[in-house]
Amino acid sequence: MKKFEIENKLKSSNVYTPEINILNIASRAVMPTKPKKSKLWWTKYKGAMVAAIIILMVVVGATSGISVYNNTPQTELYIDVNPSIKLMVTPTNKVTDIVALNDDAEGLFDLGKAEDNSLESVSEYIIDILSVNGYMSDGNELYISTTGNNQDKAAKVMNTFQEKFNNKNETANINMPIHRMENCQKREEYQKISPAKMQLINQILAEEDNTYTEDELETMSMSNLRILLNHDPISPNSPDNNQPNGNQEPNGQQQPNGQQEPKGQQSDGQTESDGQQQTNGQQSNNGNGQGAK
Amino acid sequence: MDLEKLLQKIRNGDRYALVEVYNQTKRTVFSIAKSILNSTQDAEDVMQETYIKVIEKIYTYRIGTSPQAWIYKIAHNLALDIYRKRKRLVAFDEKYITDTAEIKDNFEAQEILRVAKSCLSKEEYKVLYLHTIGDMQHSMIAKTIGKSYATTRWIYAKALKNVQNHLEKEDK
Repeated sequence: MKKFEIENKLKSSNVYTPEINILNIASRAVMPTKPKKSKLWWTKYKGAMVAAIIILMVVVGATSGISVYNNTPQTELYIDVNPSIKLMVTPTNKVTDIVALNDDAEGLFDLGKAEDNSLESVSEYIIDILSVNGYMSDGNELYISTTGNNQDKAAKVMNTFQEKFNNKNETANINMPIHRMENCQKREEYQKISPAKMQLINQILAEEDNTYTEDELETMSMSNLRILLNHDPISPNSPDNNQPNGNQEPNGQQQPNGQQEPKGQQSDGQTESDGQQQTNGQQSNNGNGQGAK
Repeated sequence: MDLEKLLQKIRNGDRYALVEVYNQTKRTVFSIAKSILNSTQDAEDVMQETYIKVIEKIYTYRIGTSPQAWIYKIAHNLALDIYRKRKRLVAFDEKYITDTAEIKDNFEAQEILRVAKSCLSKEEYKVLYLHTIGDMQHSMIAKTIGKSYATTRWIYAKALKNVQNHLEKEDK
């Protein structure tokens, strides 16, 4: 017998279906009461909603965590010409703040005036400000140093600034040296002193013939510290004394940047009076501070 | 009238709509019970219980789903319950019990069912019975017994082949 024959024989058989008293069942069966609908329609989707909220919280938490990390400064870039400033740089190379470290830098820079707060843009802005105000000149020097846990990142930040600085040097045909001071340790108690400056101060203090105190050295400019470290007398022609601001006392009792060098004058008498006079003389003749060049 | 609308009427309190539901589904309900229990008397009991449950559990039917599948599933579960109880109470080999009262006028079909009962597994027999005697589509059988459509087709083909082989053997 073929399969389809088997199928057909079974399908074509006259199937007897017993009759039951359905009317009796219909009348006797107990009708259930209509279940009350939940007033809160969303209870049906409670599980899905809880899961969605948890996922949302995780996503928002992770996103905000990443955002907070990316917007928190991790590296500090210190720039010393004589205006000394500190840039607070985030991991995404955004500058969140420009902090003035000395009086000369006060009011000179304004982060709000930068076109955007990327490190490149802010670097260009700072270099432009330095240039416009006469701080970029052949006789001057620039010191950069960084602090931060990530040394690679700190080096990259310095590279970025140095690249912009070198470009400016080239385009403006200026031969102003830049000194990098790597892996500096920042001490919390010296908030207004750059690590580079601190390093120079420590080196000077460590010298046997040093007669300066730490407080005195802190008030000196970077150029003067370099001169001291090289055992040179502090020259009136040192870049520090070529301040363009012209905010010095006319009677010559103070250094042009408002810093005093009492020990230097005492220990090195040959420069004391001459230096003061020459400085004053230059400033009186060259009020814009460019006369030293 | 559409079976879903009839169930809606029962939900709305018209319990006598059950009569029409019964007329549309009785053959398949009986076949399901018969295919599992192999006893006309027990199958009748399952039929009664099934329609009582249709009323009692009317609010568990979800509108938009297949009403046939819902009713047949009730019948299938009730039949399985009785089958399990029976198995626990009495130890017997059901392979040798062949109640073909529903097709008593057709000797050949009875013979095929007898062979099928003796050579097929319970599941194969059930699928073969439901598709041929119960006149159920494979998709509906799949929903009722809780297997996939493809599996149901495969079980059916295997059952048919086995019955064919056994019939040929008996002929020789």
